[in-house]
Order: sequence, then structure tokens, then C-alpha cells
Amino acid sequence: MMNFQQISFRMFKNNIRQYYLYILCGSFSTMIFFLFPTIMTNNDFNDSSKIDSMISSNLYAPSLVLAIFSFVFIVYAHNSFIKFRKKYYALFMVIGMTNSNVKKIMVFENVLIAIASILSGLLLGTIFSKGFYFIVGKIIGNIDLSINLKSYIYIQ
Amino acid sequence: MVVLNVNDLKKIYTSKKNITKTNALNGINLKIEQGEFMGIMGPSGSGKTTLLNILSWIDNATSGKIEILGQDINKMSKNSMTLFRRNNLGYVFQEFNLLDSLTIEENIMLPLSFCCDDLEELNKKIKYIMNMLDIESIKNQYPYSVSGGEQQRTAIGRAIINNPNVIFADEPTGNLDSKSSNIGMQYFEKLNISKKNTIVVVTHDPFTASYCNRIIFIKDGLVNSEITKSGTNRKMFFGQIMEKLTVLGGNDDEFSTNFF
Repeated sequence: MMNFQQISFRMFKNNIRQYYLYILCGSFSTMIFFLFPTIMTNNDFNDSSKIDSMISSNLYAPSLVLAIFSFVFIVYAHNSFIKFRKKYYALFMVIGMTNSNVKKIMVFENVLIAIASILSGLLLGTIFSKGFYFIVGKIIGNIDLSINLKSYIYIQ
Repeated sequence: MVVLNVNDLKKIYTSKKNITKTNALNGINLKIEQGEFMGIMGPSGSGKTTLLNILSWIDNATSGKIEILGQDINKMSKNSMTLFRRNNLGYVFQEFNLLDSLTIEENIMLPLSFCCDDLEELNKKIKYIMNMLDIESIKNQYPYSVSGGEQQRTAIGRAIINNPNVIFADEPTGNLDSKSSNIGMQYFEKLNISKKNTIVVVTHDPFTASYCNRIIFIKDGLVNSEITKSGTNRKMFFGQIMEKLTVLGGNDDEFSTNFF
């Protein structure tokens, strides 16, 4: 006999293949969003003797635009996720699940997806930041590859 | 004791901008007694599934009064409705609607996991039901890897695990071959006789319907007629149903060559 938590965890575990798409969406936007703070907190980048301070101080605007875009993107992905799960929530309610239980299971699933996508997004961001540095370096001059720990905190 | 009391039930489906209106039910009166095994039959489009959905509170009626076990649904809050549904009603769907992410055993215990009770006793109950439905041997398999008949029995198990007073089944044999549907209906019969559960079955198959004790025929959203089984002779009842269907015009001659 299992209780409600165990059942919802098992459901999540066995459904994870169907959630890949949503985790991918989340981790992709996390990754893109992570690349900007890595540059912003880079020591070389903030050094005005190496990089023009006009450039380094004007990075906020594009990251704000990016934040808005990724917000819309994540909301869209979340909506399609709810649409996909709606049938099952309806079934739960017919079987005798109360509204609060349905809410619990929704929050549970979304929190797990969020954790998975943030972790994988940070990992991917760390890997791909080299490529990003390369591109940025081509445009504004060489900067050393170093990722400041602050950029991980920035995301949250 | 009257389990289900329906008075002048009407249902009108309207399209989004009120352009077309479809009258699915035009005033149905119905009484179902405790322990009855009732069938609802009728040609397609007659409103039998609509009626069952409204009876089982999945859908709302446009007007009319529905009482289950003396409770009026229009006067209940959402939460108490869920609790009432959990304790008193069971459902078997046509596509069974089992969760592919859970095993057979977990599917059956799913309704119990919402309310935490004495685990020991529940374990016994699950075992008893799985034994009765003959699915103990496949309890650790997933729904997609067992046969349709076994899926249906799992669905029945999930419906009866809470000891519901009324069990609703919408075309429970629609997806099955005749042998599995036979076995499935025998379990319904067993439940009806041994536990005195009230069972309401919607079907278009006269063979499935012949297991019922009383059948109402619906046509154009109204109760057209009803027949009751006398004694236990299923064959005779089957003949009666076929006769009735021919009169209603629901069954054309299957071997007719004049298609045009």
C-alpha cells in the first residue's frame, strides 16, 4: 500500500519521458539566461583598461529583453504542459481526488521539472559558455575564460 | 430504498455563439432502486451517454432534479461533492482510462491513496478484490502490457475498491471481444448479487444488456419504454431485447444487401 506522495512520485518517475520536452524548454532558457551573467560578472570584462566601459555597463538592456522573452517562452511551455496533463487531472477528480490534492500534484510535478531544468540548464550553460566567450571575444576583444561563482547566484 | 431519483431532466447543448442548439434530453423521469442492475439502451444519438454523464455528475444538466441517495447535487459544495463521489460512486469507462505510469495494483489502489486509512485493512481489501477479479498474477505489470479484458477488470477493481453504492459503466464492453465482455459482465452480475451494489450500464450491445435485470430504452431524449427480466433466463431476455430494438428501429438487418 502506498500513500499519496509515493504514488505521485512514481507517476512522475514513469512519466519522465513525456516530460522531456518541457524540461528541455526550461533548461534551454536557463542556459541562454545564464550566459549573460557569466559575461557580466567576468573580471576581465569589468576591467575598464581592457574593455570599454560603455560596453560593459550597457549589458543590462539586452539581458532584460532576454528575460522577458524567456518568461513568455516558459509560460507558453507551461500552458502546453497543463493542456497535456488536463485529461489526467480530470480523471483524478472523477475517481475522487479533491481540488487541494490536484493542486498538490500539480505543484509537485512542476517543482520537480523546475529543479531538473535549472540544474541541467546551468550545466549546459557552463559547457557552452566557452563558445559564447569565443563569439564575444571576436567582437569586442579577447577576454579570459573564467566563470565567476556570482553568475550562478544571479540566476536565482 | 430509492438510490437514484431523476425528475424532468433536460439537457441542451449549445454551440459557442448560440447558433445551433441540440436537445439531447427532453425531460427524463427515472427511479432506480437499491440493488438494481439496470441497463440503458437506445440508438446512437439518443442521449444515453449524456444521461449517464449527468447521472454520474460528470456533466451538468440544463434543468431538472437529480437525487442520489437522497442528496440533491445542486445544493452541494464542490468539496463535499468530491467526498460524496469518492465514498459512494464508482465508474468504469469505455476506454478504461487506466494510468499507464502505474502498475495494475497501483491503479486499483489509486482512489484509496487520496484518503489515508488503516493500511493493513486496505491491503487485505486490495488482495481480496484482485483475487475476486482474477488479476492477482499480473499485479506488477503495466496496463499497456496486459489484455483488454484484464484492463477492464482492473478498471472494475478501481471502481469498487471504495465499496461504492452505485457503479456507473459507460459501454464497458465496447472495446472487447465477446468472450472478455462475457467475463466482465459476469463480474458485474456477481457484484450485484453478492454485494447488492446498484449498477447502471449504458450499452448498445443486446448481449451485454441481457445481463441486466431492467432495461430502459431511450429515443430522442425521452424514455421510450422499459422491460424487466422475469426469472433468471438470460436467453429469453436477450430475445425480448432484440424484439424491442427492432421495434425501435435501432437495429437494421445486418445481412441486408440494399445499401442504397
